Order: sequence, then structure tokens, then C-alpha cells
Amino acid sequence: MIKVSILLKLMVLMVVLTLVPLGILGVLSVQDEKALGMNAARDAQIMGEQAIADSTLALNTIGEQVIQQKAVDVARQIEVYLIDHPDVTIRELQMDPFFSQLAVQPVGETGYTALTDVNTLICYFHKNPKIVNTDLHNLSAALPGFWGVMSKSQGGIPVKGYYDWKEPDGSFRQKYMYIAIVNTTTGDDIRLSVAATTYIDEFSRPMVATSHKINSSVQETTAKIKTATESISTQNNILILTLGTMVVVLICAFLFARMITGPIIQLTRIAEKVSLGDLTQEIDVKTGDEIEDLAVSFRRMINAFKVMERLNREDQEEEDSP
Amino acid sequence: MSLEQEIVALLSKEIGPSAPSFFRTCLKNMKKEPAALTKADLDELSKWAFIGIKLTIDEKTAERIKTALLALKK
Repeated sequence: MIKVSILLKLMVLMVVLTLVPLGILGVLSVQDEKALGMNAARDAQIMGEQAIADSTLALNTIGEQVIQQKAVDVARQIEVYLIDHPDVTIRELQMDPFFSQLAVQPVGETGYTALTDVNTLICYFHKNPKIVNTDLHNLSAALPGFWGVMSKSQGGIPVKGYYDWKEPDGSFRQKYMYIAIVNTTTGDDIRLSVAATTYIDEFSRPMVATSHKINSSVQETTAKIKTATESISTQNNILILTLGTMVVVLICAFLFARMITGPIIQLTRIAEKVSLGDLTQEIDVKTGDEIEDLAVSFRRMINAFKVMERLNREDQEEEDSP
Repeated sequence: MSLEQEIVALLSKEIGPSAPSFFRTCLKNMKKEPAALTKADLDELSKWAFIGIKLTIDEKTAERIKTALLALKK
């Protein structure tokens, strides 16, 4: 069996007891650092998304108000015109370029207003000439969302609402429409409504750019955190800390272990000499612990040997004397 | 505890199991029987013990034993 000194055992024990928790703490701290960084990035992303959602909602609300205001304004302008021209029929109005400009006005970037008979839902003024004089009932199947809003205005009821608009590429974009009622009739007794509509994302478009900026910023930060936590420098710091601690622990362990084993080694050497008959050894152990008690007992034993040896010698001399 | 036992116990603290033999040797030098030993004899006993221990072990131990023996007079 291989003999392992107490000094080595104590040193190994102290190093293991110190380094194992240190290693665990090191691993945990790296994981915590990663988790903390990732949580911060995720929170930032959530906050960014929330800010974008809130801002988009606010801009959409402003867009709704702009569209509504445009419909109401055009309705009031039409009213003023009809009051000033009470006998003009719808056909005559369609021939009037000024009235046409009044009826079809831009809303936002791509939107427009259109005039419709509130009773028949025949569109008399529209940006698209193909729709002019068209009964909007015909669009109920093709554009159910649009029809859902428009149909509610039949009879002269102001309505508003969103509907999906199919783009030429097949995708859908959301439009908002507000229908205001003109409170004056034409010369041929047609009552009109003004529908103002446009893509609602025209108003919230600035938030798309902001959203891209926030997302790219969060992605950049996440990448930085990942790089920082996985970087060689972080791992090196932990390695240096571990090695530094190991050196300190080794020195402390050596000094502490030698403090314990030094007196034991001294007693062992003296015991070896006493066992070989050398009783002249001096024991000087002052550790203030159990080892000092052991040294005192050992000294007493040597003293007993010395006394008994002397007494035996004296007895022998008495016996030998004539 | 008799005086003899007290002295042996005291000596045992310094010289262990050889204490009874050493004590008897001291009494022999004093020409005294253990039963006849009194506190008045402690001065002479301490002198013999001091000499014997000093020669056998060392002066420091001898001094400690002498002081302890004289303390038994009180």
C-alpha cells in the first residue's frame, strides 16, 4: 500500500474543499451572467415591441380622426355647394368639373373620397371611372369587408370601420373608411354620402422603420451579450481567479498542514531514537492543543524510562558491591 | 488520600510509572518508612528528589518536582 503523508492529505483536502465550490461558483456565475444578459435583451425587446404597438395604435387613432375629419369636411363642402345650387341634378353635377374636384379629394397619401346615393348605394363620384354609376351591391361578394361597412350606411347613417383590401400582388392591406352624410339633397332629390378611405398603415408607417431599428438594436445587443459571455476574456478571468485561488489555497494549506504535522514529525523522530535506546532527547512542543498533551505524555514516558534505568543501575551496583 | 499517595501521584505526573520506585529510593536515602512520613519530612524529601531527578532527567523537571512537594506542606 502506498504511504501518503498527513501533510499531503491535508493539502489535497483543503485544495479540493476550496476549489470544488469555487469551480461550481464559477460555472454558475457564467450561467447567471448569460441568463442576466439574455433576460435584459428579451426585456428590451418586449419593451420595444410594446412601445411600437402603443405608438402604432396612437398613430392609427390619429389616422382614423384624419379620415373622419376629411369625410365630414367634404360633406360640409358638398352641402354648401348644393345649397348654392339647389336645382342641379346628379347628372349635371357629374358634368361639373368643379363639383367633381369637390367630391373626389385625396385622403392621406393614396386615399380618396367618393360620393354615393345613401338609398340605392349607387356610386356617382369615384377616383376610378369604372366604378362611377355602379351599384355597390355588386361588390358585396368580391369585397365583403368593404360591403360590411358600406351597407350599414344605407338610409343615411354615418358609419366607420376597417376592411381588408386585396392588392394586385394578392396580399391584403387594411383600409379604414368613414362615411359622412350630406344633409342636403340634389335637385333630383338624391341624398349623398361621402366615403373617405385610405390605407391605415400610411399613418403608422414611421413605426415600421422604428420597429426595424429597435429589432436590429436588440439583435445587436443580444449578439454582444452572447459574445461577451462566451468570450475568451471572461473565461480567462475565471481561470486566472481559479489559479490565483489555487496558489493561495496551496500556500495556506501547506502552512496549516505543516503547523499540524511539524510537531508530529518531531515526536516521531524522538520516538524512533528512544526506541533505539537514546533517552537524551528533549521534547519542546508548545502547540496548545492535543499534540502538546501527547508531547507531555511522551516526555513523562521518557522520564519514567530514565528513572527506572537509573534505579535498575543502582540496584545492580548494590548487588555487585561486596 | 494519605501523604504517601499524594506524593506518588505528584511524582507520577513527571516520571510516570517509575514514581513509586523513585519515592521508595528517596525514603531509603532518608532512612524513613513510608508510614512514618509526615509533612515535616517534606523539606528533606524535596531535596533528595531534586538531586535524584536533576541527575537522572534535568534541573527544570527537578525544580518543578521540588516546588510541588513543598506545596504539600500547606
